[in-house]
Amino acid sequence: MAGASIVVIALIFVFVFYKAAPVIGASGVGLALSGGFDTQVSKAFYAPAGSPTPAFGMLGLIAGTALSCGISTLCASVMGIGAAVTVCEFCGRRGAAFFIAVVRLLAAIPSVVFGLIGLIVVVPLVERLFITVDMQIEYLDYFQMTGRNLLSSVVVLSFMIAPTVVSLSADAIAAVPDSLRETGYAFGMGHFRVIWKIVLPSARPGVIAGVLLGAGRGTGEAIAVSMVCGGIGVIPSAGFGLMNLLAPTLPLSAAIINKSEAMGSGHVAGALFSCAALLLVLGALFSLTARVVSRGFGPGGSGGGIKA
Amino acid sequence: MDSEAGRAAVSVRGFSAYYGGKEALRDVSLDVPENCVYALIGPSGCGKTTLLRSINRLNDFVPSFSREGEIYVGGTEVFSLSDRRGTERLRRGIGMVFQQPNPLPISVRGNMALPLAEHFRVPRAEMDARIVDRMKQGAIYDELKDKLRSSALALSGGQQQRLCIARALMLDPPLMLFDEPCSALDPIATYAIEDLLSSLKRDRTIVIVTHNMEQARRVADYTAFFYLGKLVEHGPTERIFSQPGSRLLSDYITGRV
Repeated sequence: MAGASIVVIALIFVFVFYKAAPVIGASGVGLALSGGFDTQVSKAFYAPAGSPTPAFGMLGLIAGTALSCGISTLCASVMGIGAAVTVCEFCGRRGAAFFIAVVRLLAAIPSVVFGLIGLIVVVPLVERLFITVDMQIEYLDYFQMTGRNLLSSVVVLSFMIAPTVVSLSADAIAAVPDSLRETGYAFGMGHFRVIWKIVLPSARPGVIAGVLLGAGRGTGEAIAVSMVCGGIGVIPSAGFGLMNLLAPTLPLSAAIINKSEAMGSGHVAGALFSCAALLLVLGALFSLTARVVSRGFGPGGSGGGIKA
Repeated sequence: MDSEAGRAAVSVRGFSAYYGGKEALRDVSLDVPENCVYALIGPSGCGKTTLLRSINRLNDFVPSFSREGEIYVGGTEVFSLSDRRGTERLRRGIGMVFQQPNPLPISVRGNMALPLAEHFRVPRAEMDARIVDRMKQGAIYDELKDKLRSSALALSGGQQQRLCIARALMLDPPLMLFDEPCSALDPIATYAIEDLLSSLKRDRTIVIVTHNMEQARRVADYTAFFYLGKLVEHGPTERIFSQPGSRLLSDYITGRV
């Protein structure tokens, strides 16, 4: 079984990179360092059959993935670790079991439902709270400002990532032996100091694993994000400041969904497969790192908290 | 015993303890004189650990725990401390060593620095000097002087336990509680800790819970024998073991209970 999975995974990597190879070859490093993906895709779609593979630039998509996933992982970590500490340390054993069950349920909600709620609730809210007509006119030359933007993607993604962070952190916190907490109390430490200096450091490997797996889910998440992101790979600019949050975005994963209608053209397919190739590598990196971290590192290697 | 009460490090007066409706200790009274090793012995479930953990009020964290009677530490009745700060200050003056060695998953130095850094701002040089000194007192410095930066989890069980003792010494507690400190250790590590106990009692009082009667005999000046929540007999270790005053104790010593 394990052998079969390894073969299947290897074949997926080979297939994706084989399909992506022409575009990667034609674009070179420009693939990661230049923008203009949206226009390149429509040009490639209407290009006459048999034309040579054009160059693509995915900088906007990479920035979209980095920003949407990075910010939402940050938010989800703060929310998730905070929630895990609250639930494990202040709700009693029964309360903790109940809340963790609810959180696991949250993790099982299909992502399209998150997307739908994002579209119905988050997008109009963001539009009403942050976007004025004056702003839309001011930024008309650069991008179209609607409720579908980076901010909405971050909000939706944060709620999708948080359950992973909560559930792994809570496992790790619950696995910290009571004798370690009592050591802290015996030194005259208060409850909050014990949490901060003893419980969290002991649970750190599990907490970091939760954050990394959450980040992995964030990078790979496609459908929900594609519903609220705006669908245009705007490259963020320092000049826009916080307005970058209100610009439409297009992470790599959402790009695959968004542009999949143009897959009829072999060149577009190649471009989307190169998005997939990058996502595969990122996902593998996140989950491998999470694995290494949760096993614990350094001498001793018991890793303190998590036992998995 | 009354003559000693004035200079007793710990005085227990009419102390009963309950977990929910279940009685764990009944009407226990004893005095622990200063600068000695006082052993609490008895079969499992006899209440000796409950008494130990009541002294620094660590049993407060057991939700079903309740008690009657008083325990005095250095003249203060510990259950009269009603606020959080009072109990935290009490615990700061009482070192505790647990059954399982429990170093934190950080460096040896980090473990040593924690109790002191938690309560006082200490300049680095002073902290380092104190860590070296307490590690020497804990008979662990020679083994670990080159490993201060490495993880405390990489040490052997015996080293971890001595590190925990040295760590508890950082706050200079006049009273130390040991909860079966050697039950997870091999004989050589056990002897190292027993040696340590007799050197530590010069400057402080030690109360140790042990299920190992030979250990009580080797290290303790006084011994109290508990059975089913009652204090059956207490006194100088010498007398307790050579002339047990009750059938129960002599049966226990000879291994029949």
